Amino acid sequence: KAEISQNSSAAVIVSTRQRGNPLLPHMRNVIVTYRDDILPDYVLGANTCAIFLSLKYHRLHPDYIYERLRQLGKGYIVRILLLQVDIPDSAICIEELTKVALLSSLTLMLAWSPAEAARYLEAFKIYENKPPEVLQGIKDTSYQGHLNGFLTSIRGVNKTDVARLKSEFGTVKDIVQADKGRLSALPGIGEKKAGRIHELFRQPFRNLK
Amino acid sequence: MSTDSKTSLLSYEKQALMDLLTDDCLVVLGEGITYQNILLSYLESYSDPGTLLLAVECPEEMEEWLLERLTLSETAVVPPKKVTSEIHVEKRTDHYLQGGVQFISKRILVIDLLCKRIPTELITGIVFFNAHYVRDTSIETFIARLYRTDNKTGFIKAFSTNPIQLNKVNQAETCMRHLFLPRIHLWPRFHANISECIEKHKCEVVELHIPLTDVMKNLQMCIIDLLHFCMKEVKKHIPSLDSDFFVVENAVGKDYFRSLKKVLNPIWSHLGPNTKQLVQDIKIISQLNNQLLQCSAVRFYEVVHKLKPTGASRSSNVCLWMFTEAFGRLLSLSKERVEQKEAEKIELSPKWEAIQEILSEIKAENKNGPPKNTLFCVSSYATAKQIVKFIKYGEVSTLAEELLSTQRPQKDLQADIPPSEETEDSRTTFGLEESHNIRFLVEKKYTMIQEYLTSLNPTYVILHDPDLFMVRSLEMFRCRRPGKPLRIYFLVYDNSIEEQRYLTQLSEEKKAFEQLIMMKGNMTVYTDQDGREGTNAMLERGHQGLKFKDLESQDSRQNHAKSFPKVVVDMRDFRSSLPSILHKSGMDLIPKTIEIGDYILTPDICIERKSIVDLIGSLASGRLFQQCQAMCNTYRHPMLLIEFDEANGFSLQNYSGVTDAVVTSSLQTQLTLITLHFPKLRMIWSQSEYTTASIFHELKKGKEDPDVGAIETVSKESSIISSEFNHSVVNTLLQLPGVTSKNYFLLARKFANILEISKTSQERLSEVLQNKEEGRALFEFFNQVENKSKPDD
Repeated sequence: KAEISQNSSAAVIVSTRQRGNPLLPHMRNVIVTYRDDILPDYVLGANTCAIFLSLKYHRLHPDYIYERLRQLGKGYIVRILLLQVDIPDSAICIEELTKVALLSSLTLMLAWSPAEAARYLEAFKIYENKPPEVLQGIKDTSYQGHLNGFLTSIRGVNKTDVARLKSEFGTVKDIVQADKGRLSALPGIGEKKAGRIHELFRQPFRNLK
Repeated sequence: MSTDSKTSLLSYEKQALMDLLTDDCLVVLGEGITYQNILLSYLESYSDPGTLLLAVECPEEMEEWLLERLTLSETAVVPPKKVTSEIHVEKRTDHYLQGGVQFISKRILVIDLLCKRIPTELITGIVFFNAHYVRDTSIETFIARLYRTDNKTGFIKAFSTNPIQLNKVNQAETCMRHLFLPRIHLWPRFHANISECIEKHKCEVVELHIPLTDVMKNLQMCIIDLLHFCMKEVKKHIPSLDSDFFVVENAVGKDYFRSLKKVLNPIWSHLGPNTKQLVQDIKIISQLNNQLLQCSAVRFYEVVHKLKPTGASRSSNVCLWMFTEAFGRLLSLSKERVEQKEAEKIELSPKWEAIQEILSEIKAENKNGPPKNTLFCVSSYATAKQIVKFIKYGEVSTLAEELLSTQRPQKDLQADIPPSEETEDSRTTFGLEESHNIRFLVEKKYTMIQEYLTSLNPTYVILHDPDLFMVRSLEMFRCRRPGKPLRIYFLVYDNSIEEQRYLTQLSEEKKAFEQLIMMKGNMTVYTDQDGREGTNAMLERGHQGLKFKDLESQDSRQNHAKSFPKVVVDMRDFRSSLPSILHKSGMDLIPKTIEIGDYILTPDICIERKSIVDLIGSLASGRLFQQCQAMCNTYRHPMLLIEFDEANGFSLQNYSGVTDAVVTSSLQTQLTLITLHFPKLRMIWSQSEYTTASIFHELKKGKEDPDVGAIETVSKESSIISSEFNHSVVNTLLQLPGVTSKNYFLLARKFANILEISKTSQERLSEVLQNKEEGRALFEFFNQVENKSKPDD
């Protein structure tokens, strides 16, 4: 189809009906082009599109979204319903729209400000072809990165504690072998945290059963 | 000693025991008022094979003590038992049928109730603890509901030691309604029975009101000025802040910062970086208060000195308060205090002088005769260490050494205190010789404080820092040992923040009790509040949020109660409150250990539930990606449920903010990536468990129940960490360099724990990992002394 090939441009294609949406001035990281002949509000890639809905608007015009979704039909693979949460008691609205999204095969995204909404749209465009590595656990492979990862995986231990432990004990080996008393004597590490650190290093890998 | 503890009960304890035996009730005790003896006598009477009494989530130390005492007891016919996950599920029912007193965690109990592993109708009674935290979504509430539905004759009792928490927004009534308790019994310190008892066995109290030195007074003023300044600034940024709560008088309180954070959490994202910084600064400044009273002049100077704006590091985050006159004074005064060439002239902590006098008084009294024990109660380990050094070497040399050590790294200062071993002794003596007969107790709410005091057997107690819990505990301790003298030296700085804090603590507790007494008088107790008969609304199940069009079907549902829709729930998710809400809303739960997803609603719908904290964590670790992948490969309708909690507000921005650029580190970008990679995955954004329950009902409408058999076959194949191993330890293990999801099991099978790995040679590690490089990386991580950069405080 003609539309598909045009979709693969480098820009986010914005439907002209979106003009005046306060999120548009926040779109600074991608190129934006307007068109008046696309079904969704935003075309974010060859197979990605988004419909935008402000909850405030939805409350005033409850039928609008149903009509839009009917028009949208079944095109695109990644289909986003981007909601801007701009009313205080949003629970019932969101519940209803969750159902709507499920029935029309849309994925719901929530933003709490025009800037946040813009960031979502930009991210969809920019990472259109991003491989999943980022999601598969980006690991900081420096010594410090491993150290942080290792110690902060213990519940309650934060990076300040990591720095304290390191400067007090010198090596990781000494931290692992430290007794509870010395751990709990460190500022910021109470008896409880010390107990957890101490215990985890001594807990057997294997489950008893 | 007689094991029949009934005879040794104090008069109030006897009364409380009587109450316990007659009513389903909530027992509330004041700070430091002990109840373990009441509980022991009570449980003794139920240690019989013909009964089954469950003590749910008993505080650990107390549980140990009760287990030991009940085992030794002559009155108890059967020994007490503990239900743990190590008892195989098939043997669980037999275990319960053995009767007597059984200690159990709430998670195990709720699952066993649901799976009918426990003969609910045979339970004689249930005892709950920490009732002040019980809300509609608590697991305790769930347990009480399941229990009362099938058991109308058994009893329920609950304990609370936190009247202040209980007095907040109807908490007491809420708790009583949810646990089916028609009565409440209050035991404040001013209860006639208790005060009479304490009056009869009075401690000898020496109150020492120590005046602050002029310099200290001035410093205290400076700190208060600084707090004023910062709070005024914050107030400017957030005009909506409740002015009653946001005052300096509160800010000196103990847990103020925590409650301030709680108040600010819902709006945290809307605060600018400067406001956030100010809030952090309030914390730092209020800590200065403690440090002023606790630390020696030298140590205090060091702390203040560290705060000084140090050009580059602070310039980006200008802290206005550091440029106030008050801070200038704070700096110069604390500096003057120590800037003497000789240590003799440095101002001494006034309490040290008092301690010296007290110690010599005690010494003089005990010249002849057997040695008697002195107990120091202090608020921190650091204080204890200071006192030890001071007793050992005298005040001047202690200061002199501290002075020297400010120029050296901290390590040297602590060098002469041996690293404490795990023995009881050094925990309490802090390296002081036995001959001094001095022990230390670092302020902490020991559940079993009475036992601890008995073991330390003090004749003299020096309360270095005023602490309500300790005062009360000592009063109770004295009551329990009639005839044995006990003298308490109560040290407090006159007109100081610590004095004020102590008085506030006292009056707050008093106020809470007075209001609870009022409430008790006016409370509406429904005739069916105990849930034993009639139609208690708490026992009704069904979905209140159902729309009118569903009413019909709901009616027909009530006619055949068995027709509730079924949901499979991952066993691990019973820590959260969603299962309870789902059950209440009219769903039957099937607990199961499932490897993919947390909730299976239909044969096609699988849901992974993530609280925001979990979401952030699992996105960063890559676990969410794997979970989504597994879900998408297995189910037709995989869903990610993002569950917010009311305390922190319904907004993702509260957690991550919004950046100007698109960066992969932001939560929003990561969610975008998840969506791009799993177009099939749907998102559910839920503000509370109730919304979630309502959405679940929608999703299940007209759909089949999940096929339990099919889920089981799925679970075996695709676990990320094999169920052979302990998840949390292996998670930590996976963080180590050289360890991956492909080789971790080599280590986990060869070594017992992380400690053992840390002691292993490089050669051996390489051999086990079957890889030289990985072995080297792992070994170096443990043994490398990285260029010692100072932590950035």
